[in-house]
Amino acid sequence: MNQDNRPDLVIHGTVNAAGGVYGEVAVHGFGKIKGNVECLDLHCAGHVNVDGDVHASRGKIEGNANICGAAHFENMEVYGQLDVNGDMTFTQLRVDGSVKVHGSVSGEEILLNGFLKATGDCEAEVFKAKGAFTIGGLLNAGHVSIHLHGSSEAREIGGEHIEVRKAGISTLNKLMKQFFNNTLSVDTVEGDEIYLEYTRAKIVRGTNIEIGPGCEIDLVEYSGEFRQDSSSRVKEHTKRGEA
Amino acid sequence: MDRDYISKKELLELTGISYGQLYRWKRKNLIPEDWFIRRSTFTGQETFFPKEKIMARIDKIIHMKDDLSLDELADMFSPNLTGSMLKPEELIAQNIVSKATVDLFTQHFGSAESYPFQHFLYAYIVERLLVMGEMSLEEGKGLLQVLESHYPKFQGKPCELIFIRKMGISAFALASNASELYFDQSVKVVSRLNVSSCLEELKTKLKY
Repeated sequence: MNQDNRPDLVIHGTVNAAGGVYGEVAVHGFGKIKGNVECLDLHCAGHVNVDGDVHASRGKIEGNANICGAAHFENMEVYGQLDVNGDMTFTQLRVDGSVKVHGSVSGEEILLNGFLKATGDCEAEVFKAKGAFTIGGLLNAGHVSIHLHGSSEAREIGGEHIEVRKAGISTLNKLMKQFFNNTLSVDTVEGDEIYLEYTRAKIVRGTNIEIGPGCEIDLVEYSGEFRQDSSSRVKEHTKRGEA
Repeated sequence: MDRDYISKKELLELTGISYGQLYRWKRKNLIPEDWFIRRSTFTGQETFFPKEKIMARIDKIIHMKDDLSLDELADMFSPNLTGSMLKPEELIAQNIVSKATVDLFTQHFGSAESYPFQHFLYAYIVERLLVMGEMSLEEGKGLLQVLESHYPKFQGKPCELIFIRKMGISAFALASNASELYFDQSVKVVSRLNVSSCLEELKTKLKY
């Protein structure tokens, strides 16, 4: 694409704009963009609806953004709400608000302090969550670290290190606990090093598995070590031969 | 379960890799998404793989991961054509294509110092069929034409080259993978070639 001629698109008030190649896209009012957008910076403090794909180096959503196509960001921060109606790829994603993706999510690093929903798979090297998520497919990450702040679910979780802990006890959490049960439900968990708390799973497979408090697991298969907290229920556990 | 498929558990026991490695390779696109086949069994959902393909792939990864980084490996397995330009002399020197193929190739594409990678993929496929003795040089020209005009339409999706002959007249077809084709009795299917595996072979040869 033409790198030299990048005009900025600044939206104040209500504007219908056309897609294209931009330097900075800033939305402070209510913007509707028709067509694909390629830009260096996407900043939305208002409300924006993009009727196409978005390709941006940096993205910051403090308001409300709706992308009807696929989205690619190098660096993305969401403090408001982002809906993507396609796959989303990125290098770094930070979610302090809410992100909903009708497709798969993949990138290097995900920092989740809010809410993430993906109907497809979710892939990253690092997945750090201190919030809640719903993943319709497989959560696949090298390092999965989850602090449960709400009920979360995924169909499968796979990776090298998987760690699920209950969130620290604060007044707010105690209050929240009256309304929500902070558990993770998942069909299968597979990884090398697994530590689980407050998790409901059908099958957990891996090398070294430690089951902390509050879990309900149907079957554990391990090849290295297995430890279990007395408050957890594991229906069956088998050690399989070292391959 | 039928014999062509292997469950994830069996695969790990057989190859000695861990869950972490498998998931890492999947993330790096070393193992294609569509090889993960989910089926329900009595224990719930299980993932199965096409046995031959996955065993060959894992074998390759294990043997080559010491020499190449995972990203380089992914690049090699990816069906996308690399953008590099290559010189025909280099390929002759590396014994990847023969002089005869290159002559045919320069006739078709015109002579230049270097050509894009995908042209060499075509040359490599022609070479393969020539070496197998199934195709004449003259037919090779037709093949180059088919590949040049139609292969880019697949946009890196897996496809198969079908070479048929009927009463001495040859024809080529490109079809997307897993399509079943039936011909009339007098048609002889001379060769069916998986283009993506050719691409992989060519990339492997170029790395060394």
